[in-house]
Amino acid sequence: MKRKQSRIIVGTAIGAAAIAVAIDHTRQRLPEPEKQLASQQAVIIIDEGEELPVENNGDCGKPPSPGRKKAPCSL
Amino acid sequence: MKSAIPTQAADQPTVLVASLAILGISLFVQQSVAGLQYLTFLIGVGLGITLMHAAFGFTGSWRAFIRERNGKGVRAQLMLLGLTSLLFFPVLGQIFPSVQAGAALAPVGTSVLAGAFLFGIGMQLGGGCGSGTLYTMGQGQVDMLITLAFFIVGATLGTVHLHWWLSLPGYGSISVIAQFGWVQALLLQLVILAALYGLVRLLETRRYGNIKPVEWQIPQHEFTQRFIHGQWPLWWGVIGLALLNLATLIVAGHPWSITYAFGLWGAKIWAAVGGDPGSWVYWSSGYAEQSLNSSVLTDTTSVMDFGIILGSLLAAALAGKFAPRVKLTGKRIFTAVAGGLLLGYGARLGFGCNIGALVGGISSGSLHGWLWLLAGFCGAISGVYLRIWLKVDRPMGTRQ
Repeated sequence: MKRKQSRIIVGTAIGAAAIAVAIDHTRQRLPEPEKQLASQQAVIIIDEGEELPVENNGDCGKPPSPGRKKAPCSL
Repeated sequence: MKSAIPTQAADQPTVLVASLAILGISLFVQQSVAGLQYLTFLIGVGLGITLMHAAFGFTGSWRAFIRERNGKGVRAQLMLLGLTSLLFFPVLGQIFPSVQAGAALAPVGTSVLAGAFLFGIGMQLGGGCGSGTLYTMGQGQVDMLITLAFFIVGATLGTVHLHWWLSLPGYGSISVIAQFGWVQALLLQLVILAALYGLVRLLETRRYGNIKPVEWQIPQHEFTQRFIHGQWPLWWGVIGLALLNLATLIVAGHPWSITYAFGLWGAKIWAAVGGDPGSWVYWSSGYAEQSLNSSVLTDTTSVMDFGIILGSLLAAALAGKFAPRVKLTGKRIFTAVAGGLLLGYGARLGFGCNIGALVGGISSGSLHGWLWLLAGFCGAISGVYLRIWLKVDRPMGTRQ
């Protein structure tokens, strides 16, 4: 197989894969948007000097990491 | 040391396309996916460049050692395991409490034994391992496209059967870090790796009277040229892969892995054509279910794999080696198909490939990594003899 043929085949395959990823990304939801939405909607007013509520004490306000294991909050 | 200035000029149009693709995807992922996913993509790009420029592979190295007792590549892999362990054990031993990283732990049992053995055969037939298949495909080798396609099919089939394999005899996950503490476990691990290094060196010296060094130095005046266009000394590959694996551990929260994504891609394709992979045990709960029902760009392993393909494509173009001539015979297509299926099925049963299970497992202090190494190497020996039986290679004792 000549180099030009190889380039066309590999280029086509990568292009097809890119289209498939784009379709998948468009059709599938991003991870747990409801959680992100909930955290965006919640308004907590904390007076100066007052302690933060427990759920906001760590780094867990960040969106979940897409890692394989349960996302460590500090990432 | 011989000079290895590349003789072929860089493939500039491909360099431009690959660079723009890397930049565009990084920006898109950074904008559209939460967290540090764009960083994992860039780490993948770095891994692809390192694999390609250092020509760091497992399949050819294992075959060279089995056939000819040429242990240079195997010794480089043992150095990689030692260096990665040195970097991982303190992190996994929680000496940095702010870094939340998980080890690549998996059950020790029949599933890993059978999976790694099948993977070892598959890598010799398919012509690549987990990392090798990705970077040679990124290099534009058409035959590796076939291997990768059937790698995905095999991995998907593996997810159908994994729960049955896990019902066979075995133990749970065993972490030497949890058993002994990270310092003692690291010392024990380094002693074992040093013993293996000594064994490989002894066998090689017996055959040749000396050993081929794992090179690390290059002439000063060649540095820039070699750094950009390759070829890198093997030691650069060892250091680059170890550091990027550490970066993966810190950024993604788990060691570098490759083949989980192949099963995911297969399940997504099956769902796209009307199948229902969500009804399979593997995809019905936990992270697997979440990733099946989310954009593929949210899966760390997938994004890193895309990075590896584009990184190796860029490196191959810089080296003027993109899309080499390939002789695609019927026999090569058969070995690519059979090898790909065995690679994928074996990787799923073995909880990963040579990267996720072998490098990730051993460097995480998981016993399943050592079992994978033993069974995978036995599989590779069988695969080498299968290649001779299929007349892909000449008989033992004759030069390739």
